[in-house]
Amino acid sequence: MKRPTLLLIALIGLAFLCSLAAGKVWIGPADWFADTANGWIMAELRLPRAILGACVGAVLGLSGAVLQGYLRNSLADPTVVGVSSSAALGGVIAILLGVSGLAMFGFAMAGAAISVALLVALAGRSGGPLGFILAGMVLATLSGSLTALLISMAPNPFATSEIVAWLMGALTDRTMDDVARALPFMALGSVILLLTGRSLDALTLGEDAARSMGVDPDRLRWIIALGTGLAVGASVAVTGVVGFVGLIVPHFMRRIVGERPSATLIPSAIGGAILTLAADSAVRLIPGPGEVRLGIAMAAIGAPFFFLLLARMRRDPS
Amino acid sequence: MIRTENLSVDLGRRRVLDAVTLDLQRGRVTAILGANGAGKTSLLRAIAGLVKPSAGQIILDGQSLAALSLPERARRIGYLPQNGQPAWALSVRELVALGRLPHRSPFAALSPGDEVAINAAMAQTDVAGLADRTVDTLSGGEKARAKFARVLAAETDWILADEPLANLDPPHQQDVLRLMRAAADAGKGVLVVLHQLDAAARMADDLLILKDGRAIAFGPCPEVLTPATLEAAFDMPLDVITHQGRVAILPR
Repeated sequence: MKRPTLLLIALIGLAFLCSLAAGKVWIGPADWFADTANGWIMAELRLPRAILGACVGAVLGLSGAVLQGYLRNSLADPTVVGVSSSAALGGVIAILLGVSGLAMFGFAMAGAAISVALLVALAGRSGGPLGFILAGMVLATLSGSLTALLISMAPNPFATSEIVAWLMGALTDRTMDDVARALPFMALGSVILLLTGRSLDALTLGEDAARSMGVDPDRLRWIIALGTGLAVGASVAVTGVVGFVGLIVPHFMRRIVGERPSATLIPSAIGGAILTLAADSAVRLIPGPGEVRLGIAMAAIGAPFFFLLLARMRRDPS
Repeated sequence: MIRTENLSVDLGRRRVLDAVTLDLQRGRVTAILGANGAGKTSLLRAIAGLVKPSAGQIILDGQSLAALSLPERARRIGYLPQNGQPAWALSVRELVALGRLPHRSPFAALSPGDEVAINAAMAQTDVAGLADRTVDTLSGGEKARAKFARVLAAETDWILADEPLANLDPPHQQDVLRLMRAAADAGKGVLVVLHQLDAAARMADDLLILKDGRAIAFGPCPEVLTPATLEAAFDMPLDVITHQGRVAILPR
């Protein structure tokens, strides 16, 4: 294996252990399997949280890399194609109906599924990446406004605050049940997304060249919509919307492993997991009552990074 | 051999290619000439399988092109689009390796055969020394050669190129012309859209002249290259001047 890959694997191990140990209560490895309060915190709270953090980060990084490759644009991420906000809308409806657990997961996945179907239908048979992103923006705006409408119609302040907190994205108080629900969808979606590597490489030379090299752009479009729907839909269903991971991580990885899209996919998944685990460990360590929501922390890290990126692009147009 | 039979292409409601019938032979360079909007690119795109004919058909070695799968077509016909700038800064070797995509099974690493084809293509186009440079750091001429290497690496029977000389200075135009000539001499069929009439006259074996979507002349260079045909194609008087065995085309 190449050195960057080994380094990434070492870093993800470190981030995972850090995520297990860090928190209001610092738990050293000696207590991890102990039959004590700390052992309980480890098994019931920290472990599912760390697993979910790694998986959510990985699918966000991976889908970001795939979408940037497909749209041939380094400013794309899963939120721009509307899957995140549609899944979030499903989750909000579930909260308003008073359901939770598996039913809420189902609502969010249904939201993601509807958005994928609409995305493929709206993008048309030969819309190309432009049609895809326009359809995605329509969906994101539509589900965003419907979400806002539902919040404004919430029956009581408690429901409103529950919705708002959920929308901000967090890994707090997740259980192994959440892991068991989300993992199959994320795994299937990730496998589907990983299948696109070759086609994304071909698309580097434009759609005509890719087609002349045997890539079917219509098939690629629905494969990407399906993979993103499954993986990102499941991640939103268990954590709410966590932005910026899918945007930032592929940028870092292109610097390290080069710009060939297929080469960025697995490193972006690992990098997404590292970033999410690190950010989720950090939010627990910030002093004060409660926790900073992961989605907020990520935006606080992501926005300045985004600005730097734009500044660099302006200085160096190539 | 590629044969088009009454090939017509519509873009929206406009007929851009109208009942074009041709026989193209391997081992020859065929240049497609004509004014802007004459249907040159549409003809190339139809043969590359990028637009569906609205009438007529394309036959590749006795088989209908429409019956071939995309990868099968990609293994036999290579296509060099107009002005394609790579979206990402691939290395030259990665760019050339893309040519092998139609030959590889999913997830398989490059085979020794792939490596041989990639190295040969880079050697022929003289980009082996640039293998590790990223394409965004190349000059226009180097980029043109690297892109041509990608098509060569695919080892297709046919190469279709859409204005490969655009934005190149005369020496680099000459490089690309030489590469196309060499590919045809090595047995490939080369079909190229050109705006440089002199270059077409020097390098092509056959000329196809399109006007308003119709083929108004097709045949060996000296037969087609007459002032009358050129005037009909471009709606302006052009002289064909032969000087020491070379041909120049000048506006009158």
